Amino acid sequence: MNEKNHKPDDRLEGMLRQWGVDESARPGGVPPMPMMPPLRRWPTILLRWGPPAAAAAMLLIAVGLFVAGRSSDLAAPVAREQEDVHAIKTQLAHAQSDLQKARDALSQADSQRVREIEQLDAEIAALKKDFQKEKTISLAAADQRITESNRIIGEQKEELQKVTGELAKAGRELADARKRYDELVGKRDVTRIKLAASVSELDRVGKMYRRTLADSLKAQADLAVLKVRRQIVMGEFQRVYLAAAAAAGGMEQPERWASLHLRQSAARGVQLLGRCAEIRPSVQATSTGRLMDRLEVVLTRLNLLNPADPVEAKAFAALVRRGGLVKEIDVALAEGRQRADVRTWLLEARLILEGAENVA
Amino acid sequence: MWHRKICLPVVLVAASALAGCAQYSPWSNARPRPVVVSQADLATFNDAISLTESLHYEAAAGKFQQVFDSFTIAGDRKRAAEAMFWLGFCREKQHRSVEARAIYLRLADEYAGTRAAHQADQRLSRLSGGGRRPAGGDKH
Repeated sequence: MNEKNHKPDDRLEGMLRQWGVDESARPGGVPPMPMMPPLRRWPTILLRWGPPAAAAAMLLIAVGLFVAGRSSDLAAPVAREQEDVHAIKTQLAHAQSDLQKARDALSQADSQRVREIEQLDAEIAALKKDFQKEKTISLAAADQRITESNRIIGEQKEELQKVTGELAKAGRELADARKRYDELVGKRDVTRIKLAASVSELDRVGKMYRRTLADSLKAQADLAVLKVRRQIVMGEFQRVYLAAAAAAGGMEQPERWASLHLRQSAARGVQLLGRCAEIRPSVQATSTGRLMDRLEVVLTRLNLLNPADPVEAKAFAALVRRGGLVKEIDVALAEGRQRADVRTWLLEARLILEGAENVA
Repeated sequence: MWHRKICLPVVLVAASALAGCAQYSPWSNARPRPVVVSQADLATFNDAISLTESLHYEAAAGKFQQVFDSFTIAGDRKRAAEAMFWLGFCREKQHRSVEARAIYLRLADEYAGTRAAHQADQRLSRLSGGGRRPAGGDKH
């Protein structure tokens, strides 16, 4: 208890003393104590001294209470201090606990941070490594590109030099060409004059050509008509010849027109093979001689075959078709250098074989 | 006695019947054999004639010799005779007259009656300058 706490007690004591003084100074004062008989002395004593005693007792009680209160006042702060201390200790314990927790958390956070830092360091190291690797690769690629670019630049330089040389050459050629062009222009003028004359000549020749062409077309048409007529005449002649020759060969009633049997009988009737053997030595080894040799084979085949056998007839037709002998006879007759008997023999062979390639 | 009277006619009738059956019996040599000529042989024969027409006599002669054997085995007398004739023809054109004459002679003897034999006879007569037999022209 501080000094202030003592002041109320002093004031109370002062008040009580004041009250005592005031009571004593009152005019009526305290009435005199009546005289009582001795029998009645003790109660009078009691009445006389009872109140002061009671007052004193009360004073004592008050003092006691005051002391007790003062002691309680002194004990309360201690208790409060103790409680405060206890609370402070508790708080301190809590605070220490929290501090410990905070330390632990901080420690964990530190370790976490350390781990994270280590992880980040590892990542940074990996990134550095990758970056270094990429850098190396990029540098190598860049070097390669630079080398390639240098090579291309060198080639382009060479090309440029070539092109420059060619350009100079082309310039010289252009100059020459210009010179020649001038010459050609001069020649062109001369040629134009000649061309004009040629054009008029060409018109004249064109008219002649058209006239000649028309004559030629007319001649071709006439020739086609003549060929048709010749074909008709030859066909008629062939029919008459075969019929007559077949009759000479022993065929009294000619069979179907131009049949194989008819041709066979005709060849036998005019003795083509026998006459071939007679006239062949006179022809020697000429183209006509070779033609006669081939015709002899075909006519011999015709003489030996059975006209009623379709297989043999078909084979004979194929033989004639493959040989193309009729055209060769025409070519040989067109030459006109053979003897008369040879020409006659060739013509008769032609009459017998013409159309035989279609007989089957 | 009656059986003695009919014995002679019965024997005659039986002998006639046996003679008739023998003509058509499977053991008779006179029975004609079927002629079977392969298409390949016919094609070879036609090729050989084409070669002859192209004046390739040596190649043609080889093929004619080949098909002559085939036709002979097959029993085709006509074609065998033709093949032999063409063989002689090729030898004649090759100026191998001795061989040609021999072939023509063999043909005329072995295949007498065929058209090829007749043709061979004519060519033989021309080769011999008169002929083994009188030539009758191309008529046959």
